[in-house]
Amino acid sequence: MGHDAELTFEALAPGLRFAPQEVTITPAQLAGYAEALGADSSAGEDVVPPGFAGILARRSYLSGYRMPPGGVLLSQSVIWSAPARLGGPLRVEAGVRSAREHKSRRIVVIDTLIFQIAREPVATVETVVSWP
Amino acid sequence: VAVIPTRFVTDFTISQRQIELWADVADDHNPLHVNPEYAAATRFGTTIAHGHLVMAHILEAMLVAIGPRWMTGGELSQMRFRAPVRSGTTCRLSAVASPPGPQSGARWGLEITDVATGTVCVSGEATIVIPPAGP
Repeated sequence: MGHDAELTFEALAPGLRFAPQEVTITPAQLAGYAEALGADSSAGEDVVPPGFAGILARRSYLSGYRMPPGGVLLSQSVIWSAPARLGGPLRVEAGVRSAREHKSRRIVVIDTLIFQIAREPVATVETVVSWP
Repeated sequence: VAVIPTRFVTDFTISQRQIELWADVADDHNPLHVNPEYAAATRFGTTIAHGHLVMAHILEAMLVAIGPRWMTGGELSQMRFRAPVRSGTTCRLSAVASPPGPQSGARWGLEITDVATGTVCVSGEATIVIPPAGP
C-alpha cells in the first residue's frame, strides 16, 4: 500500500468510472471475516455475507490508490438482491456520482455495483466520503 | 412462517484484535485503525473501527435476528456515521419497527450507541422485501 498513488479530490470528477474488477471471495477470507466479527457468520458456509459489500465498495475506488490522510466515511447504503456464492467470481464496477465542496468539506458520492459474473446483480452500495 | 421481530437489541464489542483482523480481510491498514501510537496523536485519541466493520456487525446482527430471509433481499439505507467507534467500545444495536414503506416488506429504525457513554455512533434504517403470497 505504501507505493500506491494518492487519489486526490481533484481527480474525482463526477462521471469518472473506475477500472472494473473481478474478485472471488475465498473460504480463507470468509474465515477471516467471521473471526474479525467475533462469531461464525450466520449466512451459511457457501454464501458470501452481505458485509463483504462494504469491503468491495472501498476496493472499487481505492484499488491501486490510497486516500490522503483525513478521509472520513460519512454514510453508506447497501442494497442486496441475491446471495453470492462463495468462490463464484464477482464483477465490481464503480463511478463517481458527485464531488462537491460543502461547508469546508469535500463530499464525494461513489456508486458501486456488484454482479455475479453472469451479470446477475448481487448488491449496490452508495458510499459518501468526506475527502481530505 | 417465521415471525419478524418488531424490536430487538444486541450488544457487541469491537476489540483492537478484531480491528486488526478486519484490516487484513479488507486490506485497509490505515494507521488510524491499526497504529495506536499514530491514532493517539489524532483527534480521536485512540484507534477507531473501520466504518465497514461496524456495517458488517449490523448486517450480521440483523441476520441473526431475522433469519435467512435477510439474505435474499434487503437494504441498509442512509447509515450515517455520526461518531467514531473507538477500539474496545461495547456497542448496542437497537432496532425498532417503522411503518412500512411503499414496497411490501418490513422496516426498522436502527441505532448503534456506545454503551458506556450513550453516544449515538451510527443511525439508519433497515428494510427487507417480502414477496406477495402466491395463489
